Amino acid sequence: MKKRLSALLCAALAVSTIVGAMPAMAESSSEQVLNVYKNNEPATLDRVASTIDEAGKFILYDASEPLFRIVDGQTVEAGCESYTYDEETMTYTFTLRDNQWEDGVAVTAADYLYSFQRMVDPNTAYGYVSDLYCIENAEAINAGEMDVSELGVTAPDDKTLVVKLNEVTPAFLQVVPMYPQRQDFVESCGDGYGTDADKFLSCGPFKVTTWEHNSYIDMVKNENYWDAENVQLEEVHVALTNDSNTLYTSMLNGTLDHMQTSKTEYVEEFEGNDDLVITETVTPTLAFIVFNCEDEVMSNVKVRQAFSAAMNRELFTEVLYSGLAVPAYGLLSSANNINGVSFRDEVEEPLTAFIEALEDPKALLIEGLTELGMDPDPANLEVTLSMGSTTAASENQMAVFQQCFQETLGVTVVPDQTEWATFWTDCKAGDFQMGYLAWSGEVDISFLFNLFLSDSAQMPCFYYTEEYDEIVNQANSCTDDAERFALYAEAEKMVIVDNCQILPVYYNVTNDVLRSKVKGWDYNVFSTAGHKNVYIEE
Amino acid sequence: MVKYVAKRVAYMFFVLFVVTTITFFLMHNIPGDPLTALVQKLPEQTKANYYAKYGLDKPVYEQFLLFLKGIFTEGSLGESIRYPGRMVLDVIKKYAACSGQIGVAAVAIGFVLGTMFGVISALKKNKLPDKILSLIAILGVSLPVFVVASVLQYIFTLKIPILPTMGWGEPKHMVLPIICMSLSPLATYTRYMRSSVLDVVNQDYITMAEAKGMSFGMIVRRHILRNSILPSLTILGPNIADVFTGSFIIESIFSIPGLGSYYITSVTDRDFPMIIGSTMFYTGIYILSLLIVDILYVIIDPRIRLSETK
Repeated sequence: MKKRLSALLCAALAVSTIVGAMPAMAESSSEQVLNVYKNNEPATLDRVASTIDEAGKFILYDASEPLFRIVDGQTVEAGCESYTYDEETMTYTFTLRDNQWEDGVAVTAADYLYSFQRMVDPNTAYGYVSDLYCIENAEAINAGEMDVSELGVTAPDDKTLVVKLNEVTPAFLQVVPMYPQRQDFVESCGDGYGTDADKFLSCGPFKVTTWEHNSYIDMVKNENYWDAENVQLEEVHVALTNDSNTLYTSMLNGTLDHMQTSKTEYVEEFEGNDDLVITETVTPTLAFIVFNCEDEVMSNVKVRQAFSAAMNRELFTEVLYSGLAVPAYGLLSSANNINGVSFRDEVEEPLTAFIEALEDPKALLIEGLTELGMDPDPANLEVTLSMGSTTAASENQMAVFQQCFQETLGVTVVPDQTEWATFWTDCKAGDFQMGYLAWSGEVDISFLFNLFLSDSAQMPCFYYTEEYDEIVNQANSCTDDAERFALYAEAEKMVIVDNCQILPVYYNVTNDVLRSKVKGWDYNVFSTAGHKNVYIEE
Repeated sequence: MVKYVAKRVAYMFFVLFVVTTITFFLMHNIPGDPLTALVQKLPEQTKANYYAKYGLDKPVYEQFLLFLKGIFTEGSLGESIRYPGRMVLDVIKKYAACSGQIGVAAVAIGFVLGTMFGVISALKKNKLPDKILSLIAILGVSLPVFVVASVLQYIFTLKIPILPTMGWGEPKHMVLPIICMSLSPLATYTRYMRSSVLDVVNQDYITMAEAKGMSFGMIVRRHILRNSILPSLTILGPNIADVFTGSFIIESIFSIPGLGSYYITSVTDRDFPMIIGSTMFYTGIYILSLLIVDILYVIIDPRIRLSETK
């Protein structure tokens, strides 16, 4: 029996060894193969669906052809060959290129028109539909008062698309997604358009061949693409995983060509590797604490300012991110720009001057408490800080916040950590005092400012002023860059200092780790260039 | 026997109904809805359309009746809200198969090897093989699966690069996940078998069989295995149910398109149809596996009778 058992064991071991010894890596016939990843499964490849996410957009940059792409911070013609803008009638006229869908059918103006109509159709529930309200009749159509056919977008012929605006919108070309969608194909998919490789039609530099949900997406070069001769990559393989350790191992064993990370220990390991190039990039993401200005204590601006001044941002970024994050004293990071000019190069961070001028945040807090008619002793004050995360990392963040506020102000900070949906529901309902959030800016600089407008009321600070609305609206429709900077600077000072609706903490920084043989990479955070211009140097 | 099984199946549907009902109402009572999870600046009208599209504007009991109606008239569990266009039933069918492939292999390996290890360990009590196997068993139970996965990944994809780090579609993609997932069942079955074999070897009938001159192999197969395997069978049921819902951690580490990620993310995304669908699936499999284990009892140990005797 002993012998038989050990024989069995040996057999089991032998089988696993044989299975293990099978050829490991997917060997490709061509050298022009790029291996990248995305943190999560795209919810859809339907650009106008309510659930379109970063991962979905990422694939669409490669698999579809918008009218314009942002390459190295500049807006360049992609699906359109040229365009004219008539200032008097506020009308854009786009002339399209001779592009084809992957099945060989020509891409026409009607395909772009169809996606415009779908975006404003109230049944689509497209999330960023308000970005399109600058187009004639869009708002009325979205409210169900008009038919989609009355939208101010027309296609007089197969190669011409005309868009009529109802207000001056300098950022129109950057903000509105203009992707083609073919009506017959979309309708043939029913509700499922964009949910699988065979329910999606490509017309970009690459076409989607396989989509194994939650695992990977494979794309190959699209020979029907108008600019196919300038596309060098033959395959793009997108792994779908959010396990940083797996990505790290894949970078080291060569099966992944690009990784983004904020972990210092990974960066240190990568730095010793000659095969990898590391680039540090400031993202447009701001982490901040939002004050509920309707809360009894937080309703006083001096109290809010005292908290903002008491925050030790250098300590926070040093302790938690080893300096791999930029302490924030404003709303916009250096990534935000107007026509390539960084906002931060033009405008000082408003909080810096305020903190310098302020002698003692604690005195300001006492002053505020007295104005409220409350017990002026900070030692008797208890405030709750809420977070929508319960991870170990967020517990560390909470600890640093507690230390900063308790040391400088002498108040007691009560932690309240719940999972995201619960936290966000509380925030929206005004059932919190201070909430820790992060929000990312978009390509147009107005995005973060618009959150504080009284008609959007996106930011749950419950304090919106007409004065602010006026300045931001003026800035949004201003065509002179210098004037826009000045107006946004004023608006930023209101949010951060004068009204102090939020307490900025840090701007997120990410490290792009790229294999050195990969060339033509576009590091711009707002880039929509995709991998069209990327190639492998042999 | 037939009567008993019929009765158990009837109970099964009853339990399934109760679990579904409770989950449905609990789920609608947690704060937040699918829109909250998306964080978008939707205009009021769009929001209303969105809620109406998924029937979320109706009272909860009405939504529940509609949900039941969907099951009985169309045999449908509805459409995912987070992933529009994906039917919950299709997702479960497709991805449970992936999770199942890995999981069944892992549990099978764990069960077979664990049973063997347990027997060896017990028969060689306090000798070297027992000590080695006990060490493996303790490691298997106490090492978190993500640590094992990372170490295996480090060894087999970086130091000796013979296996892929992640991916899906070929047998080679399954090797590391299966090893990771089989470790814990292997350890558990080893420990269960060891203690129950120790119990059995001291029984009089073993001495009697030895006295009769029965060969050692016969004693192990006929008497020891049969009498000592029942405790392991008891935990085999829940173990099988677990594999179909997958292991979220393993699936995310090796980027396996399994059900585990849907099972977890549907809750954080407040994807109501997906939550209820995956809960029903898990409950169903769980109850079914308990029934199968009960039937296996009878086959292995004829002394056990299924129907209640008066």
